[in-house]
Amino acid sequence: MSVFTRAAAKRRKDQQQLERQGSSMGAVSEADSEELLETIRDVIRKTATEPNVDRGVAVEQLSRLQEKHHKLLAGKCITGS
Amino acid sequence: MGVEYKTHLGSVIRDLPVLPVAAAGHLSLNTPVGSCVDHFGRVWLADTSHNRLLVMDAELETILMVFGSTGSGDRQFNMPFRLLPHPEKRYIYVTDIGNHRVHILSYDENTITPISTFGDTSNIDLKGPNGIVYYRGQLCVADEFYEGPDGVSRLAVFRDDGEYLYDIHQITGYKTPVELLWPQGLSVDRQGRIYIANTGFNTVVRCDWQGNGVAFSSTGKPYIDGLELARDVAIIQGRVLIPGGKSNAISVYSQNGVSQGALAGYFSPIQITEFPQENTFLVTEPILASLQLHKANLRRVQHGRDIYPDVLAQVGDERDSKGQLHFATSAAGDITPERRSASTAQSPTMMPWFSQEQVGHLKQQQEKFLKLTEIPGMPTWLNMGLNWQMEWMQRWQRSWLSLFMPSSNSVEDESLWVVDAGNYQLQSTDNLKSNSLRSASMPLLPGSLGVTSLTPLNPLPGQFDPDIPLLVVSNFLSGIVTIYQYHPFYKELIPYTVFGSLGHFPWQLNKPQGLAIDPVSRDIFIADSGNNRIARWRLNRLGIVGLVDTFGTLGDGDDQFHTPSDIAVSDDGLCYISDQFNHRIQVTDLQGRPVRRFGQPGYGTDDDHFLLPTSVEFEQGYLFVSDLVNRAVKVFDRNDQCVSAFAAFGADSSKGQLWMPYLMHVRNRRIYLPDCALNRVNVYHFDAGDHA
Repeated sequence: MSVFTRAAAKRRKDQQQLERQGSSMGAVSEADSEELLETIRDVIRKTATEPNVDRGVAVEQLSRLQEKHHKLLAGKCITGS
Repeated sequence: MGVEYKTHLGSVIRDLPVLPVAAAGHLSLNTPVGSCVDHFGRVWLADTSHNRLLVMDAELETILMVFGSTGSGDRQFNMPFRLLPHPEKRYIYVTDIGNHRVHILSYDENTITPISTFGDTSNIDLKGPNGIVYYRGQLCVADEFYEGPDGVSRLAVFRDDGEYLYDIHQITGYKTPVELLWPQGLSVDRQGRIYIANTGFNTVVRCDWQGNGVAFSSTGKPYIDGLELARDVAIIQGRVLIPGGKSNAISVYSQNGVSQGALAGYFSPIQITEFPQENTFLVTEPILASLQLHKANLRRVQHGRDIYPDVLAQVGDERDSKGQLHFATSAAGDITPERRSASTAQSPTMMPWFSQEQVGHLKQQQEKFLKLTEIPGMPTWLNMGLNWQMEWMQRWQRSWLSLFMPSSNSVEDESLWVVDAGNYQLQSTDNLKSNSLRSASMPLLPGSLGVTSLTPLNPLPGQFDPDIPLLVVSNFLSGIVTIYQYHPFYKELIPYTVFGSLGHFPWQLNKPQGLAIDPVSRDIFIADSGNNRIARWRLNRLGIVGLVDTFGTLGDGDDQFHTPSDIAVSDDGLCYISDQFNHRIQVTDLQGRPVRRFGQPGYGTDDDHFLLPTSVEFEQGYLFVSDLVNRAVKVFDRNDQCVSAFAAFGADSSKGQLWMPYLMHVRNRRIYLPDCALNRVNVYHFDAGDHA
């Protein structure tokens, strides 16, 4: 058995432990993710299924979606800007 | 038969005005790693993917000197990595990882002079000099890719003039020897004890200069365990700082090995350098292309508490100039199927949307816009603040115009989309000129990572133009997969449908990466890396997306995975999965039943030895594998035999070298391989010897 195999076994064990501790997720929580999903669905309803929607309104919807996601992450990251 | 490097996509912006010059507005960094402070209090930075060093004033306001170019001469580098100032002499040591050597540079107020290099002679033969520390006239270098017995790495010890002394192959004195695998950052405390970021095992190991383990009193072990990642370590204010020990944070431990908490709010920090002001330190954020000066009182980090440092200064402009990439993660083509079969240069399905008058007007708008974006120092966010919608509308229109009304020099089958994750956008091109990429979408959601194109078997309800494939984009952070379509009236890429969300339930995803489309059923396969499984979804003829199945669990068994990062589906109904942390390729049927597996862990550039295989593609009877640590693209036939390969580690764009290759795209045996650390897409061609 090589060092690569031994290291892989240890990393698996570490991952299981982190999952048990519930700390293997990243910067976005499950609730955040669900909310984003619903927001995207809402954008789809407004941009794709309503044929008479104004283009500017549609673009605004898409812009808000991206901004929302960005703010969600920006609150948890420092970048100096 | 062979794999040949052709070219790369992604503009390189490394020119500087006459020095000294203000850093803001003039400095585009490319994955900076190492930093240090010299005897004059100036800050040195390794601008690693640009193969140069920068010297700045202590305030990080002015660039004073620049040193180095790409190559192997005595004033040249191939990925300058870590920097170390000699405590008494005016020397800076630079680990030059791609050239397998260490530089000794002398400096005064105005000049930098190369003294010598060491480590690349046959008796030493460093394979990957990374971290470097000094103590009492000796240097210790982490040789990350050295292959000792069973594959273990090593530390190499030198005199401070570069004379080789001895190696350390394992850390002794504990119950069993502690092995080193891919050691990266090193640090040393006041007692001269060496701290090693032992990346392969996700530990920080402590030893003396003979390789004897020095136990942490809290555990009795000579290493700190339970880290998410260990690629660097720094001893500052008497604390052990481990960037990435916890996601988006710098873990803080006492020197007896007890976790104190973390410095929070980081993206992916790598090196921390103590700064000669109270409670201040430099942090490089390679992926953000930034060097930052932070202030935090580490004594306040205790009892598991996280604190957010203050940002005092930072350098590194936005990487959003024309054609420039910032953390390119994946590529997709095959987006204009109608065009491929057409002999004319325009798409009959698109042209009616644009009258010649409209085209002329759009081109005028685009020129105006491009001039606006060329103003030096105007960052993306400011442009967006000024005229957010107009900017993206124009970028988008330009892209679609160029794709469907190709320029005179465009070549069939060269249209390509690239996920430019750091700029939250897709970029596109219709030719292989290195500066030809252009922004081509509304902003993607932050965290967007994988992309593939999907042509449904039948037109879908609500699909505005079935001739134009949909684009499927995975989001690593939110666990969401979005399917986009082009909306011809809004002239925007808009979400058609969406699925996933972060979690462990079958319908959820956790850190999704690579995507593949079954060429027969058009089902969507997703490498759900954080859940250690593959998810299969289907977009039915009503346009409703639904989960078909998932398969795989964490492990190294026949039907198990450890961080599967990508998947390819062949025309004969087999799934090829890069089982990344098991160092192998898993082959299953479409239902996930194991068929076979191949590959074994180890170094090898032209065989079935893999170390963290990251991406797979199947095309024209061949399997293409991007093998991360071996920095190799390997081509396998249907019998799992490696028939050809290309391998090169480094940052030399003229040689097709690789640092952090990510999710590959192959079309007509042309291999498009984004490298998220070099910030370019390398293009190779596989010649199968059959004149295909």
